Parts: sequence; structure tokens; C-alpha cells
Amino acid sequence: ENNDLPFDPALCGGPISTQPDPANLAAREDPATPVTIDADRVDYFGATQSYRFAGNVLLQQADQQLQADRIVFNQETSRADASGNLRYYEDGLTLWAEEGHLYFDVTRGALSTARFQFEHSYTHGDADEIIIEDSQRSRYRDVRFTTCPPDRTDWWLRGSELRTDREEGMGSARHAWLQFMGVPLFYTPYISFPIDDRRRSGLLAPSYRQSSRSGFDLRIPYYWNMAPNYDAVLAPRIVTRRGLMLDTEWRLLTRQFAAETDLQYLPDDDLYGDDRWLASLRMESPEERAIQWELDLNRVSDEDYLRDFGSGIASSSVSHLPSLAIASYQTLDLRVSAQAQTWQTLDQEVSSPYRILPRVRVDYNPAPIAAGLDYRLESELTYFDHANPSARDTGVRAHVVPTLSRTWDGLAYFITPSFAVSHTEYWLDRPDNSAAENPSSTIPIFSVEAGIFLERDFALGNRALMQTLEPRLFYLYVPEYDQSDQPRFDTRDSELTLGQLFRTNRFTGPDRQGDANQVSAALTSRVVDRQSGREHLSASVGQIFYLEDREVTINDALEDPTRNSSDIMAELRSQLPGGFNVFADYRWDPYDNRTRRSGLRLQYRPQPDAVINLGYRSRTERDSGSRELEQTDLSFVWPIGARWHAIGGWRYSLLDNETLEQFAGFEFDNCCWSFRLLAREYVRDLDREPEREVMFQLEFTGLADVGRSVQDFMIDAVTGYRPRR
Amino acid sequence: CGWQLRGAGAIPLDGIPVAVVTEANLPEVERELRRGMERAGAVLVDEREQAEAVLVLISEQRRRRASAVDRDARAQEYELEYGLRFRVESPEGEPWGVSEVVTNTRSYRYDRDDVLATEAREEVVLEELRRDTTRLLLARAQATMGRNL
Amino acid sequence: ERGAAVQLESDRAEMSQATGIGVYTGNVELTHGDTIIRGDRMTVHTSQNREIERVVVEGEPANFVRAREGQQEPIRGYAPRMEYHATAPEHVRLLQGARLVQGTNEFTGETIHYDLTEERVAAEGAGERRTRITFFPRQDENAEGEDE
Repeated sequence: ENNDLPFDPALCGGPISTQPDPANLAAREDPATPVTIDADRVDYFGATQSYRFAGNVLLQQADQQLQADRIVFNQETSRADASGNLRYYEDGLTLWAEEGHLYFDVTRGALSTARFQFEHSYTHGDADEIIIEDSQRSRYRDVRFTTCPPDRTDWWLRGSELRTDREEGMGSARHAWLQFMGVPLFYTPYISFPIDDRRRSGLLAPSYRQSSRSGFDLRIPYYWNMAPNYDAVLAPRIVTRRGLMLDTEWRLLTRQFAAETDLQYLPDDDLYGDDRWLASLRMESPEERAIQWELDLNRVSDEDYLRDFGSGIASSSVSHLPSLAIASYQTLDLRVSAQAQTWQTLDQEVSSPYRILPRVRVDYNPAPIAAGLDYRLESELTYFDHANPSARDTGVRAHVVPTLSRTWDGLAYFITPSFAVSHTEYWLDRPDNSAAENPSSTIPIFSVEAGIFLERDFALGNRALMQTLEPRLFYLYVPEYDQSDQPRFDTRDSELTLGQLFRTNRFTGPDRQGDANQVSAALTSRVVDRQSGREHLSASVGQIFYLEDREVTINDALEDPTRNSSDIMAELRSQLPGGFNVFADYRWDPYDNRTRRSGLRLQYRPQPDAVINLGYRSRTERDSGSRELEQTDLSFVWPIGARWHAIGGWRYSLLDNETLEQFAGFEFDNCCWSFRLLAREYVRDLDREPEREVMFQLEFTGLADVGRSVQDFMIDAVTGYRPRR
Repeated sequence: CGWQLRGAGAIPLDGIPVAVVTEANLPEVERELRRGMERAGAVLVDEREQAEAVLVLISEQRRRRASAVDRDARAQEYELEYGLRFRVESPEGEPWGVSEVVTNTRSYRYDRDDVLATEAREEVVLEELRRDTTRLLLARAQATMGRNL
Repeated sequence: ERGAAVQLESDRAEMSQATGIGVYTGNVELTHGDTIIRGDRMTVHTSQNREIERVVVEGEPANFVRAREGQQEPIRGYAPRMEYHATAPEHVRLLQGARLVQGTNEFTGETIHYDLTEERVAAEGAGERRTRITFFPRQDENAEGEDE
């Protein structure tokens, strides 16, 4: 389903023309290429070297073809004057006219009262005159064109002049009016759009929002194509309760980098009483470069900006707006990266996080030295800074973990003992000047992981299946080491999950290396289709058995350190043919006889644009045992016929028995234009009215794929949904 | 009841020369694919010409979305959707079947008051997803190779 | 051309003084000035004063060649049946699938009427077989380039 034409054959009927022979510009210039002219009758005048053809005349040179009732052709000037049912064809472009002339050697000419059609982008229309300037560029005067199928032209773009440049694959019109269903909808002094399948954005995908926070919010983007590698979108935006705003996106592509900046500015917001703005810059190095670097800087004028002007969950749920710069160099054995990261805290109830200025990581993991003997060195040097250093520790942390492990494995088993030393050292400035400025710890870590693979073949109906049974054990021994004098920059209890069973540290960061004398046991069973190798079912269960109590803890630890076994973790993932999927994870606390965490998602997804999700999620506090989170969510996008899609979603919190978010809408796609309408209501603050939003979007296929706000919302809100094109 | 150690039956790619080619800059995934192929008995070769089957790693796809929000619409849990696109082809480059995407999702807790810890948690989840998705990819690639050799 | 002598060779020849028609068969070759006509069978119609008026020639195919000073390439014509009219306006009619070639330019068609003095050609298709002109625009340019 990944054809890159913006047109869906199911809706638009097949492409307008059959497969043309490819444009062979070289062939046109090649002296060995003949010009052949067929006709019912021809008269040749040697004196003037001119021919007069009559009767269904067809002139051909490489991929160029000129048909007409009558053609007069002068061999010396290679000018052809044609009249009567004229049809000119070259790859990807067809022109019809009453009469016209063409210099065949340099492809220059003019046709009057003509019709034209670009096959690759379905663009077609008519013009009083078409001037062919050369084999790549032509101009159309008093033109109207559309990308709708010939029998259903719902919209026309009329202009005084249209220019097309097939080398760039771009068309641009001046003084253009868009007429939709006969009603003039927009005027624009200038518009540019793609005329081949190198999809580039165009203009006129207005998106409109009505929200209780900002009132009526209409955004009309103009695409400005300054150069093949440098373009911009300028979108004036009327926000009735706040004022006039300008959204701009600038894109630049060079051999050294790709850059994109978003600049949004609203002078003197009536509601807010101050200027509002957003500035973001994203830069990336080209893919093939050895050293990859990336820059992603984001800043907004105030903490409510994203909620007032962003749309959808992606913007309303952001607590901290990240800005980062990363440079990394990777080979098979070595990964070196340097990263700086800061945040702009938008959520006033929480403290702002540490700033990483910078973090340098070196991870060296060569191929096994001797048979199965694996050496790995992970190291990191980070400077942690903070907005108010007087209240928080700041300084440099170095962390080095050399690891040696030996693997004996075959198809049916593996056993991997490994020995590591985790060394962490700090150089700190601390508000409490009695605390150590240079704490450090060097802790040995010993672990053994082993597992065997059992299999059994069986059949279900005519499907050849295989079931596996994979028991796995992991013994971990880490002596206790007092690290209480070490700061806590990025270290908390990492969430207990099945994956965590086989990790050597129960904390998320190196500020604390957990002491341990424990055995993790897990059992996984999979059902695999022997024919395709697809995994239809995978079920796992696991638990940790503590041989000693844990000493190294942090105040809000997630688990009582004196228990002698952890919660039981289970996980189920099944993807059945036909698109039935089940994802479930569950955590049972045998001590307090309680479900600590559960998550279930049922999904029916027969095709990428037909998805129904039903989900339940719960989490309980450790000590109080009260529910921290219990939510159900429903989301779907479902096609109705070939043209319509229904969209819906509902997120309900059982904890507060309150609807947290609900949205509903539809998408109508009529091949060359589509229309999306979506209404959304979400709770921003329980004791205030929920926020309401209506999003509408009218898109002219092939002209514009700019600002697909509603479609981006659907992809984000409905897991698994991918638009058809 | 039919249970046997893996490999008791025919070893899927025993001794077959396989080349692993990557079009994206993903050394960890590439190394995991190489080790997986060796574990399945294949002989790794560097040049496609010496191989009988070629596994092409095309791209990695990641998408993060808020899977649970609290009462003031702030994210409480994030879900990471991870995918690897690959295709299997003959040494001459003729594809066996269409390029496929193996996807996998996992969610993790988001602590508003400790973003760094959450970032570390996300890296751990990403590592788990990458290892698990690579294993799923290997199973499919080996089955496709088995059918076409 | 008018006064140019006419040579005619063939394996066999039959002359009829009364009608002034001669029939020549067997690789016949007629030379008239700088026009040479060849064919398997040729019927020559002469006027009272023994001037050649009209020649009808058949062959697989019959052909004629015409070299003119001042022109680079001779003009060649091929057709299963040809009629050559020596009297003014001197012209040749090529019939039943004709082909006329000058250098890289080529005419084909059901019938071709070639006016030798005016240097005019008229070709007509018939049903399936339509007229076709083939030439190489760029080669001619280089060729002409040398002329000037």
C-alpha cells in the first residue's frame, strides 16, 4: 500500500494515461534519432525543403509525438505548423489544441486554445495559450487546472499565468483563484505545487479550530518554494479571542545538513496580555556521514503556549519542553556520543530538572576476543547543572563499567557468566557544605544467566505451527556499598518489568548501584508459524527471589527491601492472522495479595486505516495500596465505503469516574480533495470546565500536503492507524 | 508429548553463507542480526557475491505517544512504538517477498518530577524493544530464507 | 535533359515499328542523361520521331537513380512498378509500394509522384500502407554546415 502517488486508484480510477515510455531527453538531441512523419498524403517542395502532410498526420521524434489533421513542416528550420485536432505528447505531459507550431529541434513552440495533462500528478486543465519554452519549461496563459478526475472536477484553480518546470517538478501560478464546487474560495497572488510524484507541499490546506481556550482559530498556510532545496510555509492565523498570529516553517537542505525552523509569533495576546511566541530549530547531518549530529532546540514564551495553540494530546501533555544537541560516531564495535540537554519546565507544580551540559559516552564492545569471551567497556562523563544551584547538588559525574563475560551457547541452550566493576566518581558543588565534595564508589557485579530452548511442532487446521518453552535463570550478586553520600541526579527505582529481571541494577541511573543476592526466574512460551516465521503468541511470567535483604535504597522505593521475593510479572502479546491483536501485562503482589499494575489492549486491525483499540490500565501505590491510576480507553478509525472514515475515542478515568478525553469526527476523501472534521473535549483541570476543540481541514490532493493537523492527531490518538496514502 | 531441544530437528540455515547489509546507521541492530544468524548456523560473509541469501536492514522507526494522562492532562505513561523494516533477497538483489516491518510496543512510567530518570527508563525500554524486535525479525528472515533456498 | 541520348541494354528486346513500342526483358538498364532506370521488364513508348515518351518498368523492385550536380546525394527510387515520362514535365510515378531515398531522407508510401524538373514529390498512402517520411534533422545540419 506504499504507492507514492498522492492518488488512491480505488477512489480516483486508474492513472489517466497508460505507462508512457520514459522521457528520453538525450535521445531527442542524439543525431542518430530519426524524425518519422506518417500521413495519408504528403507533398514535398525541394526548393523550399518543406513538406505538406494531410490526413491523420503523426510526427515522432524519440518520446515526442505530434498528431494533427494537417502539418506543414520545414526541414531546414525543423518547424512544424499543425492544425486540426492537434495533440502533442511527451513523457508525462499531453497537450491538445486547435492549432499551434513547434520547433522540433529545440522543443520550442506555442499552442492556442489548448488542454493539458500531467500524468504523474493527475494535474490537467485548459488555457487560452500554451507557450513551450524548452523541453523542460512551459507557460500557460488564462489557465484553469485541477487534480480531480476528468468526470468529477469538484475544484478548479484559475490563474492569469501558470509556469511548469519539469526539471524541478514544480508548477507555479500567478493571480490564482480557487473555485470549489463553483464557489470562489481563495485568492492568492502566487502559488506553487508539485507536478510530478516528487511530492512537495503546496498551498491551501486551511485548518480551523474552535476551542474554549482560544476561540475561533483559522490557519491558512501559503507554500513558498524559493529553490529546490529551500522552501517555507507562511501561515497567517486568526485567533479571535487572542489576536492575529503568524506561523512560519522554514526548510533548508544542503549537502552538509538538513534544517527546519518553526517560528510562531502573536503580538499582544488579548487574553494573556503579553506577546506569545514559539521558536524551534531542528538540524540533522546527512545520513551517510560517519559523524552524525542533531540539534533540536525548542522554546515557548510561557507554560500555557502549547496548550493554547498546539492541538491534540502531543502538545497538551508536555510537562518539560526538551532542547538537545547530540553528536555521535558509531562503528560495529565502538559508539562515542556527546550530548547536551536542557528543559523548559511548563508544568508549574514540579521542579525543573537538571541540565546536562554535556554528557560524553564511550561504549566499546568488540567482537568476542576468544571463542565466546566478550569484553565491554561502558563509560560516561556528565556535568549536571541546575536552575538554582543553591538548592541542589551540581557537578561532574564519571561512571565506568568494564564487563567481561563468557558465553557457551548452541541452538538449544546458553549460559553466560559475567563479571563487571561499576566505578562512579563525583566532583561536586553542594549547598550542604558538610557533604562530601568528591564521593566515589567501586562496586563489583557478578552475574550468571542461563536458559534452554524447548520446541514442539503441532498443527492447527492447515497451519504448521511450533510452540517453544524457554525457561531462563539469572543469578546476580552485588556486595553492599554505602552510597548515601552520593547525590541523586538521574536515579530512581526503575519500574519492575520482565525486562528488569535480567538487569544488574534496580535503579535507573549510576548514582546508586543496588546491592543484590538474588535469582530471577522467567518462563516464556511462544507460538510461531513455521511457514512465515511470524510469532502469533508470546506469553511470559517471571519473578525475583531475594536471598538477602536489600540495603541500598532511596526514600520512595517502589518495593519493601526486606521481602524475599518480588512481585510476579506476566506479559502476553498475540498477533493473530486477520488483524486480531492482544497486548497484556500484569504485576501481582503476593505479599499484599493485590494487583500492582495491569494493562490490557485489544486491537482489531484488518488494514492500516481500519483500527479499533480497547484498553484498560491500572496502577496502585505501594504503601497505601490505593489506586494511582485506573483508566479505560477506546479509539477507532473505521472506513465506511471507499470515501468515508469514522473516527472516535474515549478515555475514562475510573479513579475519578470522569471522562478525561473524548473525540469524534469523520474524514471524507473524494480522490482530489478531502475534508476532515473532528471535535475533541479534554479535561485540563478537574475543577474547571473541560476544554473543547473543533478541528476542520479541507485539503486539495496534489496541491498541498501542508498542515495535516487533523491527520497527525489521528495517527497520535489511535494506536496503529496509518493513513492509506 | 513431543517436546525436544531446539536444533534436534534440522538446523534451519546450517552452513549457508549469508550476508547482512544495512541501509541505515544502526550498528547495534546489525551486530545483533549477525549474531542471530550465526546462532542459526549460517556462515556470515562480507560480500553479497559469496552469499546465497542477503538480509537487508532498511530502517528503524520510533514513535512515542502519551498512553495515559492524569487529571490535568499531563502524561503519566508513555508508549514507545518501535519498528524495523527489512527485506530478504538473493545475492543478485532480487527480493524474496516484499519488504516487511516488524513492530513492537512497550509502555513505561513518566515521572514529571524526575525527567532524567524517565529518559533513562526510556533508554532501557528502547534497548529491550530493539533486542526483542531483532529476534522477531530474525525468525521471519530465517523462515523466508528457508523457503527460498 | 531533353536532348540527352538514351542508351538501353537488356538480355532480350522486341521492337514493333508500327506501334513504336519496344519490350525489353532481362536486367534491363535505361540511361537518359543523369537518370538510370533498371528493372526486369521494360515497355518503352516512343513518339513518331522516335523520341522516348513514356517507359513502364517492373522489377523486384524496379529502381531508378538520379544524380544532380549541386546536390550532395543522388536520389534513388524503388517500386515494383514505375512509369517514367521523359517529356516535359519530366516525372516518375512509383506504384504498388514505393520508396524514395535521398541521403538519409526517405519517403515511403503506396504511390509516389516525383517531378524531376520542379523537384517536387507527392506521395499517397492507401488503406493500411500510409506515407512515411524519415530523416535525421541533426545529421543534415552538420552536412549543410560543411556546404556553406
